[in-house]
Amino acid sequence: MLKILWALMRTDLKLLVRQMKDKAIDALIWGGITLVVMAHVMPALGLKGFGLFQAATIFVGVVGFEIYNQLFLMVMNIEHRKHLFYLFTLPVPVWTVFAQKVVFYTINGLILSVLMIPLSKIILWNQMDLTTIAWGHLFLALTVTCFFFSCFLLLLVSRAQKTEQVEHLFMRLMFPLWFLGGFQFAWKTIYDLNPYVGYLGLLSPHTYAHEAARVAVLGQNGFLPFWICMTVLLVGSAVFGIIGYRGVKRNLDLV
Amino acid sequence: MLIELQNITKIYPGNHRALNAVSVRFDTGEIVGLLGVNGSGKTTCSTILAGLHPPTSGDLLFQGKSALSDIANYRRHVGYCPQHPTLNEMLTVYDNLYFGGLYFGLTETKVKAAADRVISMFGLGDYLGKYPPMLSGGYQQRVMLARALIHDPQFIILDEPTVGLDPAIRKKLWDIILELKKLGKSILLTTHYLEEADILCDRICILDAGHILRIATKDELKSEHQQKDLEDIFMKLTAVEE
Repeated sequence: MLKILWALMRTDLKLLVRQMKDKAIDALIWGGITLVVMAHVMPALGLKGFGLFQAATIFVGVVGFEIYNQLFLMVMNIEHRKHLFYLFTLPVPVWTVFAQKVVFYTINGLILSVLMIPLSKIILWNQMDLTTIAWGHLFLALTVTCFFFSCFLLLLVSRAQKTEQVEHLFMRLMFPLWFLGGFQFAWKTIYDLNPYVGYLGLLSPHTYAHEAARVAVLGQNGFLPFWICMTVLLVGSAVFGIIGYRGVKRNLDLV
Repeated sequence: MLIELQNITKIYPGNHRALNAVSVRFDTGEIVGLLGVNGSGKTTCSTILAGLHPPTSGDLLFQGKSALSDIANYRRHVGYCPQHPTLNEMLTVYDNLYFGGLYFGLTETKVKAAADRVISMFGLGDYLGKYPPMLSGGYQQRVMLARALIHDPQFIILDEPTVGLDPAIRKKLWDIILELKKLGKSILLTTHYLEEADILCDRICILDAGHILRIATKDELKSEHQQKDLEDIFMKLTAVEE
């Protein structure tokens, strides 16, 4: 079984290598423009020292965009009964096909996340001190976040059976979760403004991903505890992954 | 007996009964033709046999044992060529075949030899570097068939394999199917072409609205209905039901 799953992984990695240039360009444009505005334009409006704060969220934010792309591709594949259905006829249990996809999406997301680090250094330059970053925490946070979003993807696929539904899912669910999940503010900021809205923010998994990355880059002070964020993301991965897998299996009526 | 569908019923959401207590056996070295009008349950039957979708009730037996309890092992012995292209459009024709072999657990050496075998069988030599969307429907179908056979399965499911193929290629495919039969493979062929079923199949199973109207050899059918032409028998059987 491992041999077959490795063959599936090799296929995905081969295609990833081929697509990486385009994926990297897309990610660099999004991350680069956001950072330039936050680090060099916003200070003119009085928002000082926001660049590094924003960089930390861009490390994980880029994974969200990639997951949206993968969601679209997977739903399109399912809708038109394409290659994915062939994979469900292979001599392995169906859950292992999904597990392989989750691992692949984690790797894919992690590569894009890591790519954002040198980009941030180039744009922020003196504002980003590489010696103060807790690298171990950062890589752990990025890996767990990528894994979480890969599992979350299964849940989204189970809720969108047509490509037109993906668009609605993005605007109605993913965008609010992302933007209100502290893409541009710390959880404490919103909690101090209104505790009830703060508690609501805890329902968004993005909150934990953003906060964990900020702790690794800026230190623990002013953010949710790092290990609580990791625990929530890992528990969320298991819960959403299992619910998502069961939903997709039921929707596609697989053995 | 290699494979048996035992009292298979399939009910889709909305209480749509696609198959109703269907029982068919597939012996070694036999071609069984599955005939029926659109919506008769042919594709549902082939997807259950491919181990893709589960039956609502009934069992799928492989060498006397339930295949559903060890579906991964069962799928190893099945080559499934569905109606719609399921090739990886981002891989070349060669890579589709190469990885298709690896996905069934073949070693690198075996997969290369197997790829060479199916490439020559289906005349794909000039198209190995092309991507599926660059190929005509007929050639995509050939690649699908080649991929379904690369791991040398015992049971082959061909769901309307000759739709859209030109007569010369269709004839060539018939020869390949007969060759596979000589090698002892069991084949399920779903088709709309009754002439094709007449030439290739040992037994014919006629499905209508999820029910089996009749399973018999061609000669039995012809003698029962006093007709020489399978098409007339098919029309008569399905018309009686309507």
